Amino acid sequence: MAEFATSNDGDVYDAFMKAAEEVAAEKELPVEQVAAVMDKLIYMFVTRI
Amino acid sequence: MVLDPKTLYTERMTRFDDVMCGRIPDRVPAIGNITTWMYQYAGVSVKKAFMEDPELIFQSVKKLQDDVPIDCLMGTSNTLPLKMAERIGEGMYVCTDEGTQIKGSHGQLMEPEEYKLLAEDPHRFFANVLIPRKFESIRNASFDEKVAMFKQAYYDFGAFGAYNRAVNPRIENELGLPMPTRGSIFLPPDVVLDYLRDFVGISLDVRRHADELVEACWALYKWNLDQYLPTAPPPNWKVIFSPLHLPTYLRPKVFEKVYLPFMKRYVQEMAIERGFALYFFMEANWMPYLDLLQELPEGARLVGLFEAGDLAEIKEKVGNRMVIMGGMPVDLLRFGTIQQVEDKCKELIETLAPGGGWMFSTDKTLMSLTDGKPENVIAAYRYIAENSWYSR
Repeated sequence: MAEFATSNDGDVYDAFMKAAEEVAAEKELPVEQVAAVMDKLIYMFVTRI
Repeated sequence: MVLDPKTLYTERMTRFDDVMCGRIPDRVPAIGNITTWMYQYAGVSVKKAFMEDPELIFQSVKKLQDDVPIDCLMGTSNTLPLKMAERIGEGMYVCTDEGTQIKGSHGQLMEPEEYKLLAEDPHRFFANVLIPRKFESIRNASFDEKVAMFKQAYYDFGAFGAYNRAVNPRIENELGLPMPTRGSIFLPPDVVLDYLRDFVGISLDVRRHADELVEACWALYKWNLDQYLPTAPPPNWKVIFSPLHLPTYLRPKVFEKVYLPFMKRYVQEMAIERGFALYFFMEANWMPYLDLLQELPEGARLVGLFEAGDLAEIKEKVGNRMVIMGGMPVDLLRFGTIQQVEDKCKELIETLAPGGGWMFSTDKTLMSLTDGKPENVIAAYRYIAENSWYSR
């Protein structure tokens, strides 16, 4: 039987959001705006690259 | 008489919009269902055009328009953030001088036991389960390394957007060529098919895990709209593209259970309630599903490109739910004579043009130069441009 995940725990999501905070600080943008782009990137990493 | 770009754009856009809104246009819109064919036609490297010099995109589109009388080009095909993928070091696609291709089946990225995790939190499921599973470089990175990778991905994605913004408005403003596609949204079962479970996996899931699949798809549906709507420009004449991959692999009863509800809700929420125009690529043969498509809401600005089937019957049965696009078999463009192509155009006009509700295009996308001989492609679009006037 193939292994499967039993929870959504992990640090990749947090890394995306930390990246959002750092970009927002560097570019003086609202964190929510950058986080929304990171959310799109999460989707795109699976579906577009 | 050569029209200035602004007048040309307005004329072509109006032709498209008239059909979408149920009006009779001045003539049948001739839609360029053409992707990397045009770069090969222009003798341009797709890889260079997509990754190095946007001017190559512009010149390829200009040559296409100069030679082939299309009214609209659905897009330039530069839709994948290739440099971002290159920097991660892995990914599904490869870009060559001839075009972009999927490397091969990427297998089943998730297991059916994980549908409940996807339903529970699609953001964290994608990020914490699927991404490290898919990308070895991310799986093996420290937290700080991951943060650095994702910051770079943000900047790469921004650069990708800027690259296309350097050329897309020029195509519309300087060439007068409308590009009607304003983005794409996949219906969730197609996300599961294409990226998560592959064909073998979802074929089993629709029988063994149907309820979990549907529940997970509603979570994906909400995520898709939550991503698109906050920053989407207001509805206009342009269309949101959705390729419908899964349906024709399903028996109609199964389609009705696991796929049709998403089509219905999507058309209702996006087109009827919010006023967006939609474009469905109805891949493969939809003849067994036409009666079920009557369940789609009435009154949507919706166009369906039908890849196969009897378009006259399709128009008769579902023309009250959507505009029909298609008609010219690429096999004829590939193997036929100019006379045969023109005869087909004449037949299509006589059969499908009366009453409006039809846009001419090839039945399949022209990706490679071998998909259609240039002289046949030119002849087809020229015939439509000259012979499909409603009031002349």
